[in-house]
Amino acid sequence: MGETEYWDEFVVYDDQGGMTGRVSGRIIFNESWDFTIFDKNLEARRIGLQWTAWESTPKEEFDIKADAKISPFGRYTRRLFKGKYVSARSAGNYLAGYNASTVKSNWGNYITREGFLKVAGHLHNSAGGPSPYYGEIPYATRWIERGITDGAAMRTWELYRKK
Amino acid sequence: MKVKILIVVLSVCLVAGFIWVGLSIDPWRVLHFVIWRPQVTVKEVHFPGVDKDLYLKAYHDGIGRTVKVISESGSRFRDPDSDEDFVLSSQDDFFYEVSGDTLKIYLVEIFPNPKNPPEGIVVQQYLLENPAYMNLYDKRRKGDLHLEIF
Repeated sequence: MGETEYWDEFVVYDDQGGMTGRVSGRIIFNESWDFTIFDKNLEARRIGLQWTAWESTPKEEFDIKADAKISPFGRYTRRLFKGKYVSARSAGNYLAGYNASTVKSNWGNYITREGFLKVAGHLHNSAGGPSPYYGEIPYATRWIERGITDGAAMRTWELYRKK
Repeated sequence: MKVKILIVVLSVCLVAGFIWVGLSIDPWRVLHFVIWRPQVTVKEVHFPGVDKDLYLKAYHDGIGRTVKVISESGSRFRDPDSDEDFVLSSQDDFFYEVSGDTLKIYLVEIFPNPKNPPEGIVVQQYLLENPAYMNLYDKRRKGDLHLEIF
């Protein structure tokens, strides 16, 4: 068996962050999201930040919950990630944060946590929202933040390795 | 004077060039970005029994909001209208099949009925519990599914 990082990981939330009261999904035991995230991040680095943003919109390359080969049970596919069972939606949120933090823009900079959440919040709700989530829902934010933090650590390590 | 005209002509060519390149790559995306509308996916469903069509539409707004619509109109530029269309704000997939004049849909959250539903076509909704819903995905994975997914 196994465990989840958050008690409500498998609870279905609506687009506004409201809990529907349903628990849904299928766990694929002993399979991991690791390769998918590694592979998609390599692709993101290859195409650059602008195209990565483009390809992160629904049903595109980096929308992993919409890819039937990667997520055979849609956004309810559950696999291992960092030793815990995680939904396709959360894995996608992690990938978005990780890409934002590791893929350089044409101007040589990276997106910060605040920058990412402000954009995500405005896309989610045209009025945006107050700090710390800026309009994005907490269910999505927690994995986006982890992706950004891990991405920043990876960048530091890559910088150190180059020296 | 000639220099001014040249600059204007070059500017016009540059803008037209950008639009042309954008349109040739993905016209719907360009229109989306130009007029800032949600990205829309449309799928036509034909009912041979009554020779009519319905359109399944998904309006993707931003990175996390999706509105699904069952409508008689296939237009991407028509906003969801809860009086005329079946409208549901959900990212959940639903499975469907056509049987004569009936659209049978299998889903985890029901579309509210519009005031003026499509004439001549019956939309039947079957609410599924998680195990049955996941079994449909499982069948799709194994290639045994006779239903379409949207």
